[in-house]
Amino acid sequence: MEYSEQHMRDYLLGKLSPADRRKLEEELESDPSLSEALQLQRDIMIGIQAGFDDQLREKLQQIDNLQEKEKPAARRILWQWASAAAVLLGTLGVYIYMNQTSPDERLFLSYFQDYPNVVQPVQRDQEAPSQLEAFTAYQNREYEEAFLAFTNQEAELPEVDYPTFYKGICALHLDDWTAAIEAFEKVRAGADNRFEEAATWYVALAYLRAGNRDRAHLIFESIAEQSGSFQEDAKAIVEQLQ
Amino acid sequence: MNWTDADIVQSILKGDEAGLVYLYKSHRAEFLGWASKRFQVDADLVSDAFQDAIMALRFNVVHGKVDGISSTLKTYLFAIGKNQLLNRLKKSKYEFSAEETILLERLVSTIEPVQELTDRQLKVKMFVQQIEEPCRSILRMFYYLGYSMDVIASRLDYKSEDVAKTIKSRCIRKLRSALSI
Repeated sequence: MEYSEQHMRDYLLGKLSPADRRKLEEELESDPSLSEALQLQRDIMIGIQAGFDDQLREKLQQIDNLQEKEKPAARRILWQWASAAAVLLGTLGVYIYMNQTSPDERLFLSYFQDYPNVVQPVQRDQEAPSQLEAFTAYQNREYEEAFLAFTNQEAELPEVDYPTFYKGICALHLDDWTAAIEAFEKVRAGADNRFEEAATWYVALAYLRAGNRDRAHLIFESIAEQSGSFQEDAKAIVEQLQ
Repeated sequence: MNWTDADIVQSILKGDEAGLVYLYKSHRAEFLGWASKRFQVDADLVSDAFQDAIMALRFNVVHGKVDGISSTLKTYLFAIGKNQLLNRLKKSKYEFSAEETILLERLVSTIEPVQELTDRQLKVKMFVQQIEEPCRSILRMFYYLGYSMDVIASRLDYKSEDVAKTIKSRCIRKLRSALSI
């Protein structure tokens, strides 16, 4: 029997029904030309796959190169220097960095602080290693690692919001405003309201840092109107945004 | 635009690259950060492993191998990425510390050996780099996207499946000729 290329392709991809597969395999044993045709199909499929994968890979590489170029080298160096200086020289380093940034960035940097770990101490006895890992990384300021660990926890603990909330804080440290906004908005919409107030504050900061001044302003105004931990800071920011 | 996993899958099935690019851009930094904290390896190697993972994910989506998975695409991508990273590390003769070995044993369930392309497969790959329309689209749809001939006929606006089959046969003849068969 002569098989079509589509039939052979589907065999190679494991898409044939068990009966069709058995039939083809029985013929394979007695028909060397079928075996040869199948080998050719396999080589074509793998070669074409590799060829188009290479084209996609080139595109991804171009994206990497472009993103690298988009980070202004001077600012990167300055940031690295300022970060180091801030550790060594305290406020002096921060002062230098702050002078290189836009007003909204400065505002963000003036008010953005880590949220304390309010989860781990009270749940220490019950925690799995992955939870310890997340908070240990967070407290050690290893934000990429913490981000991943909290992301993994999100799936493991869908009934609580704290992994998403702390993931958002990590995203702010990693300059990933989109991920930060997404995380905080999710916490605000969630049923666990322990972090709602803080998430509202941080999402406003994230919008501000992401350049969405109007949205940030609206949220800061709503925080400023209600009594709460962030009310005074929100009032001050609203004044500066006007 | 925020893509959902369903958007990304649809984009991949349509043969677009936008969904894959979005997935790549969204998670590359996190994967690189994760890997660099755990392994003392060159960032390029990690980056290549992540690109391998994107290719593998595309293949699995196109060929229905992710249907019914319970995890998110991101979790799935990271799982593949870890496997790909291990493959590349092994290939580069990287010496694992005891701690890394333990970590890898925890992370990686199955390790697929990396297959080198044969001479004939390499020739096919070269052919893809020079291929022109309509062969480019038709072979891409058939072998890379796994479309049936009737779908290809419809996507490429051919009058019938037979027309598509005839054109594909011509393309395969060109390919065979490039392979000296």
